Amino acid sequence: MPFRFNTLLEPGHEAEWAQLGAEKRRALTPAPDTPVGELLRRGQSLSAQAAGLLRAVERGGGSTRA
Amino acid sequence: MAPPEPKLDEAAGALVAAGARFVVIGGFAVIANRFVRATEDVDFLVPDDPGNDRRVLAALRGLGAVRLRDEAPLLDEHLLGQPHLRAITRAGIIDILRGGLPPLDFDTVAADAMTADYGDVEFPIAGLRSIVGFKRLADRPRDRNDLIGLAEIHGELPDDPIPGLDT
Repeated sequence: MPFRFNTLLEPGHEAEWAQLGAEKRRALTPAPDTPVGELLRRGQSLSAQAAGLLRAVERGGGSTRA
Repeated sequence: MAPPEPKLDEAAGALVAAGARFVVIGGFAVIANRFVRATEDVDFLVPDDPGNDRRVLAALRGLGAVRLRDEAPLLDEHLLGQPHLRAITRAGIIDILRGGLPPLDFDTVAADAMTADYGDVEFPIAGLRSIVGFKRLADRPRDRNDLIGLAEIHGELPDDPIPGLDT
């Protein structure tokens, strides 16, 4: 039997995932007074990252290794 | 502490530099599989390997990480033997997760992974088969939306049985 740590990636951990999801929402929800310019800058940065990632995957061969 | 925006290449580059084994999963892996949507953190799947955990921790500390829950400096026991660690770093929020049972175990996900080549750094990012499995298992509204989006792009999705879900 191979050595295994515990995992959350199996059925039965819905409560833990709900708690983790709430924690992440609290951390990531912008303050109500966040300037629109800052929200736009962040959104543009995330979009640029997505584009960069798609290019990087294409450079890497664009398909699974298997 | 407000988290910085996620920087996938910086986060993954730190793990590569530390010699850690990992696969990118989560929202960035969804994007890599051509369904482009917002994501605000970086998720890494790691093997059950204490030595690898120490390399991951070294990389996270190099990124100025503290544990998100309490902003405590990272200790070995925050990851060793644990199913999950969430840290806040200068490359954004980083989640470290253990693999599940096959086909969602680390080795299967790593074997199915694609390569993201940023020129100065390359790293594995989960392929469609694995992402579909993770999304089917999680089954939150966003996961169901991801599956709809991926199916619109790729057609019929892989449908590997998930232990405890389909068997």
